[in-house]
Formats: sequence, structure tokens, C-alpha cells
Amino acid sequence: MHAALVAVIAPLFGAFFCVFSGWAGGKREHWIALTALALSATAALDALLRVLKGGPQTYLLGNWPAPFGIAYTLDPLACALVFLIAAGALLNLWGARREIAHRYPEKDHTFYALYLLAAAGHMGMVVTGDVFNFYVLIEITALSCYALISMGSERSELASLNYLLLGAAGASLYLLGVGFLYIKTGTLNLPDMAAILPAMATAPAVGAALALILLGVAVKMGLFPFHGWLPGAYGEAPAVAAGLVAPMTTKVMAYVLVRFQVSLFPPEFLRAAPALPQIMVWLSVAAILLGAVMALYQKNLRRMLCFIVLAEVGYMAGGLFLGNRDALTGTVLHIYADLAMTLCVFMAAANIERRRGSLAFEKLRGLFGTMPWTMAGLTAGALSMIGVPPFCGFFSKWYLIKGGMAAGHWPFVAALVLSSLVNVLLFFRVFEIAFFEKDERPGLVAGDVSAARLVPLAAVALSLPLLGLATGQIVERVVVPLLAPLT
Amino acid sequence: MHADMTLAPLLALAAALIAVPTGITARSANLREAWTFLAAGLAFCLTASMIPAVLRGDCPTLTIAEVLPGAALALRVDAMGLLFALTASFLWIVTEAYAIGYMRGLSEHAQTRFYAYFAVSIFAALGVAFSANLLTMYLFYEALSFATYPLVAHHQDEESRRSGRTYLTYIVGASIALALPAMIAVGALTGSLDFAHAGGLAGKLPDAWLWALLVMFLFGFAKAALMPLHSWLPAAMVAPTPVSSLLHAVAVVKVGVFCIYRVVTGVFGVDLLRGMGAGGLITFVAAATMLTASAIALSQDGLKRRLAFSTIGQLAYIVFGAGLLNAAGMTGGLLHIAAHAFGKITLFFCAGAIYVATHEKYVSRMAGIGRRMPVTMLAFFIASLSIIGIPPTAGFLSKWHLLLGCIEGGSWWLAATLLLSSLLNAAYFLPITYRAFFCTDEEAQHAGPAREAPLLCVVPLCLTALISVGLFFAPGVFLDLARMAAGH
Repeated sequence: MHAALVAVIAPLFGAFFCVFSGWAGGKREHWIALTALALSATAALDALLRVLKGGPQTYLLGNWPAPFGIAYTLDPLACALVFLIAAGALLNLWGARREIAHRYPEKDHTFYALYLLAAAGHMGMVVTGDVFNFYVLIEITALSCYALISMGSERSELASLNYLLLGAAGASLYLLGVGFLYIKTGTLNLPDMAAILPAMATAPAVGAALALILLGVAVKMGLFPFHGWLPGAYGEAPAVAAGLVAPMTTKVMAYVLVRFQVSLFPPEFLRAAPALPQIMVWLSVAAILLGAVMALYQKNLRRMLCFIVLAEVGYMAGGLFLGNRDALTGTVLHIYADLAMTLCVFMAAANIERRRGSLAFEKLRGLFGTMPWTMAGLTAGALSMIGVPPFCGFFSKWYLIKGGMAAGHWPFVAALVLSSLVNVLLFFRVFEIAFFEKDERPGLVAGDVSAARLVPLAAVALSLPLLGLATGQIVERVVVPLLAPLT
Repeated sequence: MHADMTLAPLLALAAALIAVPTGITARSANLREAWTFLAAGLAFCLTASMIPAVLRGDCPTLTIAEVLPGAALALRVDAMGLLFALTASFLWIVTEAYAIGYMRGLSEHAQTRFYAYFAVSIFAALGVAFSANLLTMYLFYEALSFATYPLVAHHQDEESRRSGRTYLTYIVGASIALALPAMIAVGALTGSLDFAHAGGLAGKLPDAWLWALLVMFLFGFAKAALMPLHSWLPAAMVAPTPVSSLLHAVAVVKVGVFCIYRVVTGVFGVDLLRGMGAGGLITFVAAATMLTASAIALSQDGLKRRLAFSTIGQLAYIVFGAGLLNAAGMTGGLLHIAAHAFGKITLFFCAGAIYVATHEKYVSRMAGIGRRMPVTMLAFFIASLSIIGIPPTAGFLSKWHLLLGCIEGGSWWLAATLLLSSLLNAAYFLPITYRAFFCTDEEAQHAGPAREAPLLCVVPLCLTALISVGLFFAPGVFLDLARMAAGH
């Protein structure tokens, strides 16, 4: 299973090559980055096919046995997510060469290097089976993201600093939790730890450690009330970078929570503190409502999307802590679905920004006429976020609502339905501007963006209904094996 | 009942979509319209090809993907679905001809977009007809909601923007807020959304919850325009007339009532509803809608708005038939899907023809119009008779069965409501025709000699008017299918 390693290492090396190429004065960074990501996506797909066929595997880095070396946990859940991240990062970068060269004439190699580092970090977080290595990858990802984000609009540096402060706090909380666990268990390996923990599940130190870890990940994930950094960071980042971090980061953190919930947190831990899941679900409800309300107040497409992302974080966290099988299934499905549909809308938004210079609502007039293909992509993403079948957003929401009903948590169910309704309102408000209002400013570039930007968008848009139709397969081959030990 | 796998329903759906890519890439308007005719013709022929099998008692079935446990994306053609699909796909061909006359007569903009979304809408309507379970039906239902939005908003002005907003608010709002949670609850409780497993809810829930679910479905499918969720239909009249005639008199609104029939027969099951005594609720809502809508129609001056309120009233007849929960009532209701379709589409065609020829929209300014457009107004008269339910027209047959259903159920006051409503129908339709032909020269706002709308507008409306009469004498396959679906 070297494939899994290749998936993570390829963009990491790609980042170094980009820097060297920049030093040498070369202009090949774009192709280096695309090659690295394509290699990574292929390797991830290969790994995915293998685990689907041969079952979950553990890959020992450098062949060091588990408690001493770093082990990768490879199961369908992780491999599929790595594949989506690699493919998404590739498609998002595909048509951005001119934009990057134009915006950063001197620093384009830095941008590519940071982009690849961030992508590698996200993928590493997914596959690693070592809680400390996970911390290292959090920091690799976060540091490259801070830098990437600060390369955006004039307000992006402040947004990035804000993100840095909160993100560093989150990572520190996580590290503190890991420290406690290491003291108690003497291991950093996830499966090892999971085997040892149940025996000491009620020890106060373990409880505190798990709570700290939970808190840290919640901050990194942007769950209410730790969401303050999110809209600014994703709203002010450069369009291409936003297309990477907005779809990936929150989803990877949600994945980590799923992973911990399934294989680390002993059932006794949650049973000893029944209030904790309750609080988390209520925080999720608050996140969904807050995201919906705040999105309504935005006058800029990208900022509106950022608040929708905030609400989607609530979907995933809520499903996770409802604690039943349907809700967990919904969360896993939503990790994939939300990654794809957020990527879709952010890529479409980047195309619009490229043409119109800004995403303020008044710049969106007449878009259906001038950029029909981009708008088709945005519409596909919007329908998925609203939850229209056969788009993937519908099926994850189906399971989440079903889980909410099964748990009898009606506020969560109501919040999900309300959020769907608000999404209709939000997107059709944008569509109304783009459809009914004519833009007659002189000097406006007519026509859609180039094929290099449209083809990747089309691929992502098409993946939404395909992912939706594959729901049955995903549940059967990814989620059921994952949740099997829970019964 | 025996089910066999067949591609026919999928092909019929795919045929409807042929019009989209070919229409967008076609180099001339004639070519585009030729492709649309081909698509409509193919869709109808493929639909009609399933008649013998369905009448034999077969159910052509096709599973596309197992998306959720107990709810695959699957198509199944039964008598009820085929009845609706036949009506919709046949009228598509007629409307296509009419649309060419109308859109060219008015030199409307964005005609390619118009035809493309029209085809997608019919695709979705046929999809609803052929759905094997609630999930598939919901999928096509929502597809229809979104595909019709650009048609309602076709003129791209302030008024169509407002109307489009009302349209989506009611239709999508109701389906997401009411129908979707109800559907998920049914799926979670019974483990199956298939229409072939009706009655799975029995004993799973306290009665109060069952009532709540029923109400959620009843109003969640807001395309049925049951009051108080009806305001979107008059608003949608801002669309070009071919849209009002096929979609907002036939395809979209009938999808709404069709969904209610599916819920009544395929989700709850007639026996369960009878046990709950829920028929009374459905008939009450329907009767109230019927009378109120007819009363409002009396006072509408805009012809299309009057027709829209008439549609709301007539849709309530169909829902009323479902609420009777007996074979005669359901036969009447289902037959009314077809009978009302042919009648109301004629009326809308007439309204559009009048608009194309004279740019008149208001009833008060149509005195004497029969002198200028005798053929159109004669067709209008025949179609109004069908909607009122006077022989020899198809509307009589469906209303007759509905009355039989009331009497079978022993509720005389329901029968009286139906008759009262028919009187109201007469009161808002007949004066239009009367004033069109019989008025003094001073009152007349239009004069002869006869100058009709373009031929492509007039021929379709004559055809549908004639069929309204023809169906009275030979209801044939429609009556057979309705009786079969109602369980005779």
C-alpha cells in the first residue's frame, strides 16, 4: 500500500519542486503542481480500489512497528476522502494559471508551494493513525493556509491573523489533550490507544483529555461558537485558495471527529457525560441557525457561501453527536457531499470573480446571459445545497433528518429543514439578480471564462448527481463496515 | 399483478429530453421546432405502446439505482400513471403546435430557452407519472418545480420576477417543509417507500401523528393548489400562454393531485384512511377549495386569472374524488384529470389566441369578440361545457362518477356541494360566451368580419375541443385506465 504514501508525499515533494523552480526562474510551477496532484489523485484512487477489494489495512511508515513508528489507517472512508481532496485540489487549480501569474507575478511559486503543502496536509490528516503525527499535520496545513489566505484581498491579512490566533488556540488545546492521553496510556498510536482507554475511561484525566481534544477540533472546524475566524478567512482569501480550504478543512475536521467517535472515544466516556453530546447537538443547531441568518445579511456571494459553510459544519457535528446509526451515516455522507458541492459553488464563484472582478451582488447582474456555463455549475451546486434529489446534498440530509427523528431531537430536524428553505431563498436571490437584472456597464468583458476553467467545473458539477446516485453503494461499502464495531 | 422489467418508461422519459440538446444546437428555428415535435411524438408513442400491457394487468418496471434502503430510483407504469402520462404527452404535441403559432405570432424572446425548459418540464411530469415510489416521485416533483421557474419568469421583467418568487415560495417551500419530512418519516417507520406496499403505516403511529402526516402530504404537494396554498397559480399566469395551458392547467397542477392520489392509495392505503375516517378531511378541504375558488373566479376580470381560479376549483374536484375513498369517486377523480385537461387547455388556447389576435386580456373588453373570432369562441363554449359538466362532453362523465361516488358513500350534502360548484362554474363561464356572440352593436367592442389568430393557434384548440366532445362518446382507454386504477 505504498499508494497511500504516494498520495500524501507527491504534493509535499511537488511543493519543494515549485520553490526550486521559482528560484531557478522557471515558469513551470503550474505544471509541476498539476502533475503532483494528478499523481496524488491516481494513487489515492488506487488505494481506494484496493481497500474496497481487500478490506481496511494498516500501513507502517518506513516499516517501523506501530507503537514506535507512524501507522496509516487505510479504510474506504479515509481513502475515498483522500481521493476527493486530491481530485478536488487538482480540478480547482486546473484553470487558474493565468489568474495566479497575473496576481502574483513575483511570488507565483510561493503560492503553488503553499497550495500543495496545504493539500498534502489535508490528506495526511485523513490517513494518519497517530495522534501526534496528526498534530504535526494540523500545523503544516494551518501554517500554509494562514499564508495562502493572507495573499487575498487587502483585508485578508487581518482575517488570516484572526484565523491564526484561534487556530493556534485550537491546535494547542488538541496538543494538551494528546499530552494527557500520552501520560495515561503511554502510546500515540490510535488503535493502541483505543485498546487501552476503555479500561480507564472514567479516569478524570482521560475525560479531561478527550474533552480538550474535542474542543480543539471544534475550534479548527469552526463549530459555533468558535466560528469567528471562518467567514473572514474564507471570504477574503484569494479565490483559488478559497476553493481549496473552504471545501476541505471543515470536512477533514469533521472526518477526524467521526474517526475519534468511532474508534477512540470509549462508549463509557460519552455515557459518563451524557450532557456533552446534548450540548454539542444544541451547538450544531445554533450553528445552522446562525449560518442561515447571517448568510441572509450578506451582500457578497462569497461571504454568503462562507456562512452556508458555517451552517453545514452544524449539519455534520449535529449528526455526529446525535449518536445513532442513521445520523452518523448522514454525517459521513455529508462529509463527501459537502466537500463536492462546496467545491462546486466556490469554483463557480471564482469564475465569476475572474470575469467581474468582485462578487458583490450588484456585480452579478445579467450573469445567466453572459456566463451561462458557469451559472449552470453554480446552479448544480445550489440545488445540491438546497437538497434536491438526485444531487448528493439531498441524500446526506435525508439520513441526518432521519437520524434526528430517530433520536427525537426535533429542534435539529427543524433546523435542517429551515436551513434548506433558507438556502432556496439565498440562492434564488442571487439567481434573480443574475437573471432579471441587466448589466449594461460599458467595458464589461462578455462571454464565459475559458474552457480550462469550465471543464473542471463541469466535472465537479457532474460529480454531484453521481455521488448522489452512489449513495446506496457508499453506505454499503464505506459506512456499514465503519459502523460495524459500534453495535 | 405481475411486474416485468422493461426499458419503455425510461425511453419515454429520455425521448422527452431529446428536445433539449438538439434544440439548443439547432441552426434554425424550424429545425429546433422539428426536433421538439419529434421528441413529443416519440414520448407519446412510447407511452402509448405500454397501454396493452397495462390493460392486461402488467406493470412495466425498471430500477435505475438503489440509492436508499427501501427506496430505489425506480420506474413502474400502472393504470393511474399511464392515464396521466398519456394525457400529458398527447397534449404536449398539440401544445407544441400551438406554441409555435403563439411564440412566433408575438415574436417572444429567448424561444430556445423556452422550448428547452418546456421539454424538461414534460420529462419531469412523465417521471412523476411513472415513479414507483415516493422518493422517485419527489425527485421528479422537485425537478418540475425548478424546471418551470424559468418558464414562469420568461418575460424577465419586474412582474414575472415577483410571480416567480411567489411560485417558488409556495411550491418549493411546501415540498421541503412539509412533504420531505413526511416522506422521511414514512420511510423511517415503514422501511419502504414503494407504492406497492401501501398501508405499512397501520399500527406504527398514534392516530394524531397519522393525521399530521396526511395533512403534511396534502398541503406539501402544493402543486395541487389546495387552499390556502393556491396563490402561486394565479401568479404563474404571467407566463406565456402555452405554459399556462399545458403546465398550469395540465402537467404541473395534475402532478400535484396525482401525488395526492399516490399518497392516498400507495402510501396510506384506502383501508387505513377509511379506518381513520380521514376521507372526511380530504373532501372537506377539497369542497371548501372548490366553492371558494369558484366564487373568486366570478369576480376576476383577467381571463387567464379567471381560468386559473377555475383550475383551482377543478383540481379540488379531483382531490375530492380521492377523499371519497371509493371506486366510483376515484374513477371520477382520475377521469377528471383527463377531462379537465382537454377542456382547460382549450380554454387557455382560446385565451392565448385572443391575446395574439387582439392583445385583449380582460373579460370586460371581450363583448362581441365572437364576431371577430367565431371558431375560437365556439371552441371556448364547448370547453366551458366540459368544465361545467354538461353533456355531451367529457366533463360530464367524470362529474357523473364523482356524484355516484358521493351517493355510494351516502353523503347527500357532498353531492349537493358538487352541484352547487357546477352552477358556479356555469356562472363564471357562460356569460363570457354569451357576451361574445349576443350583444348589440353598441356594446360590441369587436366587429366582424372574422379574423382569427394564426392557423397554428386555431387548429390545436379546435382539436382539443373536439376531443372533449369525443371523449364523451368514446371514453375508451381513459375510462378503462381510471376504473382499473380505482380498483374496479
